[in-house]
Amino acid sequence: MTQKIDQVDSSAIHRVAVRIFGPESGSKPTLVCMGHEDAGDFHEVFSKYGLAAGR
Amino acid sequence: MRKVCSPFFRHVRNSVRHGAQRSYSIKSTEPTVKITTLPNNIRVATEATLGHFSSVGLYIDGGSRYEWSEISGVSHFFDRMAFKVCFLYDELRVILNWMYQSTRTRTNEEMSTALHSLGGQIMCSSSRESIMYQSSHFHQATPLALSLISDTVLDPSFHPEEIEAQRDAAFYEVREIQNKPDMVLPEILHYVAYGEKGLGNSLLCPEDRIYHIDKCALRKGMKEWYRPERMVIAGAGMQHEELVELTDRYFSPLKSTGTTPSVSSRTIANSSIPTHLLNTPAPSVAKSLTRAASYLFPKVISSPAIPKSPTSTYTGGHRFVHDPQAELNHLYVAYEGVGIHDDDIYTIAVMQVLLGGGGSFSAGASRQRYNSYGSYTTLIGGPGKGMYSRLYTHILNYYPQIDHCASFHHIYSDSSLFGLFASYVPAASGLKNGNTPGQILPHLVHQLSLLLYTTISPTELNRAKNQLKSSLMMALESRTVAVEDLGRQVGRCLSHQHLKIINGG
Repeated sequence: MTQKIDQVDSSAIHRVAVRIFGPESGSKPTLVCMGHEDAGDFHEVFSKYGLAAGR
Repeated sequence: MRKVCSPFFRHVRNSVRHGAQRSYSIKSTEPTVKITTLPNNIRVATEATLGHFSSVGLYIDGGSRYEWSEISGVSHFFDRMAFKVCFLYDELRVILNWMYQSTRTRTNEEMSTALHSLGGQIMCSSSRESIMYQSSHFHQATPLALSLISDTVLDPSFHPEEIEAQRDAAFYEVREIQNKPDMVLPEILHYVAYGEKGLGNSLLCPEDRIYHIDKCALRKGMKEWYRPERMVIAGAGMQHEELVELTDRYFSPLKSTGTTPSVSSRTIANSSIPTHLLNTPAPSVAKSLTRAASYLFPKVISSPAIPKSPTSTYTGGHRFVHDPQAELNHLYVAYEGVGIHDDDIYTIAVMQVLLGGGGSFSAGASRQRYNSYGSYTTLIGGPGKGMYSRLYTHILNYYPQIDHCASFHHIYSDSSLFGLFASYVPAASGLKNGNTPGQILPHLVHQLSLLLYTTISPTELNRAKNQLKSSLMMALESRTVAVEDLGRQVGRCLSHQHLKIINGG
């Protein structure tokens, strides 16, 4: 297990980030907001920052 | 007989061995794990460790994930009823009487006496994917501990007054938790993320289900989950032969249903257990020639049956919970990660540590930020630690309206939830000073986009990796965690210390 952690390098982080929330990953975000008001058009924010927006 | 070296310990040992500059004269004492499968398919695993105490546990593939509408909420009841005192109240909530859960062979007084004479700790807890009954005690109490566990699991009497008392307790508990956003929001997040089913089922009994939980529902849940092929008995601090014998004594009434679900190829391919299985020569001295001995030295080694895991139902989604009175507002963002068997789980774990985060409060004029103690999403405990993680240096140090900001990672057998959350002081009516959810969201999303579009400096990456490794090592210092890890690894090849730590538990 520690060996597997040691093997993690910056390219692995990038690859996995692309896999789970990259714009081409087809992933869908989950957003939960609690309080006075809602977050508005969150899909727009995700797209703007280059993340999978799920639509 | 099988001998398997826990993958975690193997790696720890290797890394310790290779990493050490000094040479030790003591031979490495390799912690060995032995696994035996009894004829009814119940698996017994022990790990040889020294110490004054023994730990033993029963791990069952059950829990809220496997609940269907008819038995929704039973895991919560199993958890709260076993080995615990329940109180009976009158209409004014004055305690009339109290009792332990009784079984067919032990009345609640006998249960109470037995639990007190155990002289250790015994508990039951349920999670989304497992239910465990665990005890830590002095060596000589192992038979009693196993007898109590077996009694509670195989023969609970579920008297109507016990269930009634537990309903009251559950009702109170559910109400209490609803007022704690840090506990209720992860539940809502799971509910939304997994399409309101499977992993999305609440850990707690839904309020409208509390009065539907009766003996019949509890029995249905037990019938489905409490099968020998879904059970593992794990122990540390006792001879393997002893635990096999005790398991045989207390759990042989449990018959395999014969409808063992087929093992999915994915589980086999990625499972860490089978590759480490080694045949060992039989011990030279077998202590006693009991019935158990024939299971210890089987002629044919059958592979343990691992119940097939249901597939993830991740859908993603959005939920707004309106709370106009709240002092703090909360925003959670999550994506589906990977299951525990996927090697990328380590990378996500490192990512989570890298983001880190925690709580903050202002200490006078200096406005220093401290890590909150023992926060469940923060990986690093103790004040001051983890303050170089990204959510501190990029968010908490810049935006005073954000009170708490941390990353989280909930890992399951075939899925995980990875994300960030922020708790912030909301805008006073009409004022917008960077504290509306629409203004907080970009800060969180930006942290994820940095992982996609920028390179991480080696110093930062190494810091995160070292923090992760040290947390894992420290968790395994605990015998209870080690036994739990063993039970769950054998059960579903889950590495629980991994799960627990990454969840920050």
